[in-house]
Amino acid sequence: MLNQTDIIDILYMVSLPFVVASLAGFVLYTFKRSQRVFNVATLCSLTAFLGLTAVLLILTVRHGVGMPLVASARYLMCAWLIMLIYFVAEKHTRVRLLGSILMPAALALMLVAMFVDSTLEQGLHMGGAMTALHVVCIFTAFAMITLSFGGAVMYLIKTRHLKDHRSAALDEQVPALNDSAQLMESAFNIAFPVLSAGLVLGVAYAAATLSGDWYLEQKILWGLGTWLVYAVLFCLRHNGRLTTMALARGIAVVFAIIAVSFIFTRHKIADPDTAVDPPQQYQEKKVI
Amino acid sequence: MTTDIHIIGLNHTTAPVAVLERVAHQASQKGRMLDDLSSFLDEVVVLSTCNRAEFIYVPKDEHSHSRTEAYIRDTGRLTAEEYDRHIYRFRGVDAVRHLYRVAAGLDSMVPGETQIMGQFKSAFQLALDGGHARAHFQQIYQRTLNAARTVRREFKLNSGAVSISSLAVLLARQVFSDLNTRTVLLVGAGKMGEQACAYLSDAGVGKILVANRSPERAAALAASVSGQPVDLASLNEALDRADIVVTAAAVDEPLITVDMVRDAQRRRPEHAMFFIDIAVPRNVDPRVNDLPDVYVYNIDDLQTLVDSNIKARGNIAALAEKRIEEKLRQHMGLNADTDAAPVIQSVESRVGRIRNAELETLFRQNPDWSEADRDCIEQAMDNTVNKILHEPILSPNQATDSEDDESSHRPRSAIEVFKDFFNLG
Repeated sequence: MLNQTDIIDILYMVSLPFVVASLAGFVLYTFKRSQRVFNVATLCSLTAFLGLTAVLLILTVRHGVGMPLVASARYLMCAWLIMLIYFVAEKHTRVRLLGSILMPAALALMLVAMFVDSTLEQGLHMGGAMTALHVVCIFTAFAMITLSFGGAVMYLIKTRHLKDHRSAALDEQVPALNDSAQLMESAFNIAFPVLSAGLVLGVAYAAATLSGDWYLEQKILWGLGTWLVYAVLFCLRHNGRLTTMALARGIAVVFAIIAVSFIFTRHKIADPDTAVDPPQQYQEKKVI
Repeated sequence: MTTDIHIIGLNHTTAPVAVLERVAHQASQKGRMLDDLSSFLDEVVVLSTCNRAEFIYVPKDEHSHSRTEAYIRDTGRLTAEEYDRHIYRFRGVDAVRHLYRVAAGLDSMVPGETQIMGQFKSAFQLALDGGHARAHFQQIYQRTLNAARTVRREFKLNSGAVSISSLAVLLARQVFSDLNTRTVLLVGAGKMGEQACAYLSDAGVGKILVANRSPERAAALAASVSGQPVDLASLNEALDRADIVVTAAAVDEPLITVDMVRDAQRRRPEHAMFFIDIAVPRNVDPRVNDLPDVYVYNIDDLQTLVDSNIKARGNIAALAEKRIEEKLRQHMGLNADTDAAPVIQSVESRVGRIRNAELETLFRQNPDWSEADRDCIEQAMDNTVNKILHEPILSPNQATDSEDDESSHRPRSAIEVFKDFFNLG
């Protein structure tokens, strides 16, 4: 008899090849522009999306609001969000090339989830609903920034083709500059308050529950630096002092910084190795 | 059946414009020509465009060819040498293949151009309506359209702009997808600028500003495109308002400099600007293209893209030729099995006999009618018969061309058949 963990593993292992296949299909579509290839890739991505939805549902039933605190679950949730945003954006904008930009991010997160070793108990003891909300906000912001990055990439490609007077500038599948700029900017504008809210929640939780120099942690400093870069871009753009081209380049940089932060840095308190026996400075305050 | 069809013609590849226009000009009087040619040809269609003049016919007797050739020579005022050098001839399957290629745009100066399809339809329709073409040509006409549509649909032969003006519009759409809310500034009201402006106007741009050294000329052109004339001296202010700038002024130094555009960008709510510089020498400093969110295309850039599109169409056309051959084989095969022509000819023959009998009775009962009156009545009778038979004659041909249609396999009531027969919806 299969238990829930086995079912989750099976669903995940079934979803993964479909994401790989959809990514291959979207990349192939970028070069071949075959309607059939696009349809197959979309079908694969939908199958993978359904598989991930099932995984997340089972995890939610199993862990309730604590689900986002399980490391592997939150990476899967982010991949799921990116796929969801892709489907919505593709339906809304009819920009089919988005698949070849967003699906690699989804695949990378699914692969990271596979190698993350975490347990629910470690997650839950770190904070409950407030931390879960922090995680959801941060990962939603990342998914939106990924979409914004997709718009920025298409904007930069189209710009380069137009500037160099290449015939590829007439490629109808790469949206017009103002369309990709709009996609990029809308996602950028939505992601900023969500990211800010996520960081505020995280900081509030840490300040309330942790003692010592918790703010000197690498991931927190990295996150703060990212937010500052983002805030500068946001303000300059809304003051009309940043061209669309500069914004597109800025978004590419922000995406790279956040992606590095997501994949390569972790909160020490969430690290299984340290969570079992956390260093003194990360000990929770004793409630009197 | 197709072995009877002949084509004599000349086009842009076989004849210089001076010769081509002599024949094409005469051929533009199609009605009169069809009447003349019908006297010694069984069926005839005259296809005349800027780039070709073709006579598609089925001979009536052994003298038909020589009489047709003499007629073309005389009407086009061609010398014997010109005729031999520039005229081409096709017969049978080669003639049908040629028709397929012409209608698909594969034989056009710009491969894939769509205008020829309309011209082809008009030529056949004129001949069919006038009774100069009948069942045989009707079938060839339907199959040619079928082949041409298939090739055009499958190969998208008309993709890619092949004129400077249409390319300018396409490029503008790559910067601003929706032109309805955009403002175009035309600097210099010359012929090229006017043409580009007309294309942009047709594309639905929101507002057109026209700046020219001669305010009268600017006002006249602005009026023709529902635009607004602006003073050339206030070019800076106009740049603040313009999203797309078309320059075509005859000046020695660039009218639009980097500083002007940079200043305009600072004042504008949106930074993106698109410049189409079709003037020689250039009106826009080429360094303007280096500014962020600004795109400049001069006449050389546009011409390079047009040439590459024409070349690309040529490459696709080579593939489309194979599809034409497949269609030709398919249609020739259909001919052997399901040829509708004999049936149609029987119907025409029977209707013709009824017509003649009725006319004979009518004329016998009214011996005092003049020859002119009788001609009028005969003509009216012919037109009526042709129009009534037009849809029923189309029906069997359309049925053979739509054999994949699932609905054709289910049993149909007599009323449905009758409706189809007369195209009664």
